[in-house]
Amino acid sequence: MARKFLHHKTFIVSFIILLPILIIALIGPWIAPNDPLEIDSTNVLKSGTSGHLLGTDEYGRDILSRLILGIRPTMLVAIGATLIAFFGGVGLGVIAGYARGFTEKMIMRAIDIVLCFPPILLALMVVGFWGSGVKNLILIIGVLYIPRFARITHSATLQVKGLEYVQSELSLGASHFRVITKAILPNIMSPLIIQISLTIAAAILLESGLSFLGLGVVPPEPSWGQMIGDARGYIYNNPMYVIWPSLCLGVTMLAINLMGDSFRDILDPRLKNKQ
Amino acid sequence: MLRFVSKNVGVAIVQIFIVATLVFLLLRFMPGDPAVLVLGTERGADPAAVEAMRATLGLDQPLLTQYFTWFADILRLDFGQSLFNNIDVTTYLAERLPKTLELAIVAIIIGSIIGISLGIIAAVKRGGVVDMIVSSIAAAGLSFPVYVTGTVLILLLSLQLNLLPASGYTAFSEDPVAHIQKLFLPAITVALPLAASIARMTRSSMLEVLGKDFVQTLRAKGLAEKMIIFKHVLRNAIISVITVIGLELANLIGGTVLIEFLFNWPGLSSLLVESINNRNYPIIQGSIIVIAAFYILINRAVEIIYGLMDPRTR
Amino acid sequence: MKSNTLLEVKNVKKHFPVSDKKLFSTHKNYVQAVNGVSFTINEGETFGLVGESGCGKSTLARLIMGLIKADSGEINFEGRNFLELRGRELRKSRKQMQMVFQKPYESLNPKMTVGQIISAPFDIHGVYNKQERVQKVKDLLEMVGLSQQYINRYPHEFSGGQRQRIGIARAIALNPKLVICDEAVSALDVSIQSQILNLLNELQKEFKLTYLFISHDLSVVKHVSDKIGVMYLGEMVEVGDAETIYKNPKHPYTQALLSAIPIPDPTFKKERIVLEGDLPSPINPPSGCRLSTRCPYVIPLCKEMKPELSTIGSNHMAACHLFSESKLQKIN
Repeated sequence: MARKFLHHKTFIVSFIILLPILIIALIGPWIAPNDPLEIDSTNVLKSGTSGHLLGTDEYGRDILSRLILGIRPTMLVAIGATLIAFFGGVGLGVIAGYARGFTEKMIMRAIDIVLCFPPILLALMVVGFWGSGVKNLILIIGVLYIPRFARITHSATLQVKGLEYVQSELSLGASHFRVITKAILPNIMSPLIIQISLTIAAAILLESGLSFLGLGVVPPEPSWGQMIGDARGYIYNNPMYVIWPSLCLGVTMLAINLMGDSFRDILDPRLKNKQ
Repeated sequence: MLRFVSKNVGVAIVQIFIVATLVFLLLRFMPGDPAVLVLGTERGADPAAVEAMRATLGLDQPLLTQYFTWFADILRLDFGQSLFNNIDVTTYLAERLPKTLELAIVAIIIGSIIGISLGIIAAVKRGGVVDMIVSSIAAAGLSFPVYVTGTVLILLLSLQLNLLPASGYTAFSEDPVAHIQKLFLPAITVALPLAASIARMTRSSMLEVLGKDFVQTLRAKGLAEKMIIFKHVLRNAIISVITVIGLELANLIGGTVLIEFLFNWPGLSSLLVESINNRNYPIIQGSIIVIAAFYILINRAVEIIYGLMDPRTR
Repeated sequence: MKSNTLLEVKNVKKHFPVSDKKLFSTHKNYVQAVNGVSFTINEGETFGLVGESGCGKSTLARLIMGLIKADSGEINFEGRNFLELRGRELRKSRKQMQMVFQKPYESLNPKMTVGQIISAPFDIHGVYNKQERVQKVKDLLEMVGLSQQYINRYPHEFSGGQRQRIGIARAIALNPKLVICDEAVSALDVSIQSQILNLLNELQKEFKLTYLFISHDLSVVKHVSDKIGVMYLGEMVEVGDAETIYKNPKHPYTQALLSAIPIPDPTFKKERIVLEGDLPSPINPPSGCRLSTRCPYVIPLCKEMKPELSTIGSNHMAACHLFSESKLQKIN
């Protein structure tokens, strides 16, 4: 399996793009050339000068440092939300598929309700009343993507549950917990891993979208989406201010989507043949 | 058929009911007292002002009474008044909604025209230059956030080439040319990802039909290739547009929310964002319910059109 | 109850509800998968259960294993009614009874090594420590004719016959008294089938196992069984010693099944009994005798009254009106 990934060009390309981004997210505070929050009213909206490699924003803050530090909240939200969505969704889905009957009906109905609205509208709704910030974003986006995991897990569980190796665990007298963790979950991971990559992409998109609207990561903490939103008022003064975060976000999204595609190629060969 | 339509209407009603309930609950169970939050730290310290604001928001009644009043008001399309100027929320909504609809409809039209034509070319000249360009641009374009695409368009068309105004809104009655100029960029931005999806869908469904036996028959009886494509195969492109609109509706709404903000387009979603920023709760409630209702109704409409065209999906 | 009876199945029923697409219909349909089946298995013998696919054999196996719950009836194992056991107690009781599954390509968890698969019973019931388990697994591999080196391999590296051996090793790991083989050799090539059957035979001698051997193939069942039960549409139509059933089948359905076995002798002329028509739907089975729609010897009584399984010879029972004594002569 690992070899398949190493021989997949798309995967390698996306990996080469994403790895440094992740590393920068981790070590950001130590490599940022300036304090990203330091306001300098004498150096506002400057283009790349000797003091600031990529120029300054409307408060005279260093754009490069803000870009470097701006990955953190985005990645934090993406990973946190995906974890919530994964564990919540897989838990609910496996219970629904395993228990069947009334439990299944209740869980799947509740999930249908969330699924029938556009995520950004639900996110705006919750942010509108309950406020923004990284913690809330993780929670909201996480809950919003629970249904997708739950649906996939549910249908995969139904498929696997009737297979003889699950029946054999049961006939050996295994507990439900063992049947689920040893026989069902390991065998339905492929579609879930694909969904993880899709959810990370969707979470980044949603976080940066909300931050772009000024309803995501709370200023002055930087985030790419928020920088684009702030910069849109200063395109005439310093066009590079909007270009840098747009470029970063665009490339990251592209790389994550490519990685998702490669996961799908490798883990679900049936899909590849269809297209 | 009637059963199918009424079932869809029923689903829509239930969904709108759920959204309305959710909005109701979110305000009532939010962290902190909404009245204090609206008034801010200074005036929020005054108990009399807080009581008055609670009454304005309708929070002074027992919860169940509030719930019934809430639905009675919604049924009469009464969402209360703005907290800052006593103008009816409905007035705001009526002023902003057409602008969002205009943007969305123009975007759908542009997206369909671009998408269908590119899709047809890609399908007919399969493996050709257009096909390659379309599929790679579609793949790349779909992964960029709309507002990044929008920013690029602003930088290119308005800043560099000075062709179009970067943002803003002029009423059609005031200056039709300026209106269309200012509509163009946001509409194109929303339309591009839609066009990419429509092109993909058109291409694949056309290819599927082109491989069918009846196309061979048409060719065998000597019908011109153009006739085959435009009269017999293209019908499937229309279905694909409806499919994509159904599938992309969530993205389309998300797109308009972000694009209205980027281009300062005074539509419903920018109203929502403004109101969230200054905690104008009645307007937040009203605009969320209206946007959600539209989303739900269009979704159901797509479902019904589907059922009309393809009885198997009923 | 005889002293050496191991398993007694008494009037067991299982009907599966069939979901109806209409929203407000109160009428529910049921698939009568197993409809009042009774038989006993004595310790150390092999009971062969035959019938065409869809007759409820596998459902019966799963009912006995407790994988699905019976609607009514009793399943007595060593004198205790299994259907009354719940939760932990039921799981513990599984030590005594194990199953070999039908599809070798589906019955082994693809994400587990052979070692993990075979030691699963030990994990589940918490017997032996780590080293003992490894040793046990190696012994078991040896016993079913596989190399000890296979312990860290994954199921996809093995052939169907090898996988079935792994499945057998897992089934006998806890020294069960009863092993249910549900179409255990049906998916295998004929040459492999006989190897597996021989293996089962050897294991039976060594560990004094009792088998419930389920198959749609009467020639396989005949080869291994001491007793044979024949099922048709969820009901037992004939039970008896293997020899008796094979030499002197009474029930028309058994006769039809037996006459379908090819005999490798070109000079042998036999009477072929062919059943007319298709297998009726188990949702709406024929009234009276279930074979009445296809039976060549049908009499008016068959459509009206259901024949009971009744003794017609020593260790020989059949459910057919033709053997209600007075009518016995008609057929022979």
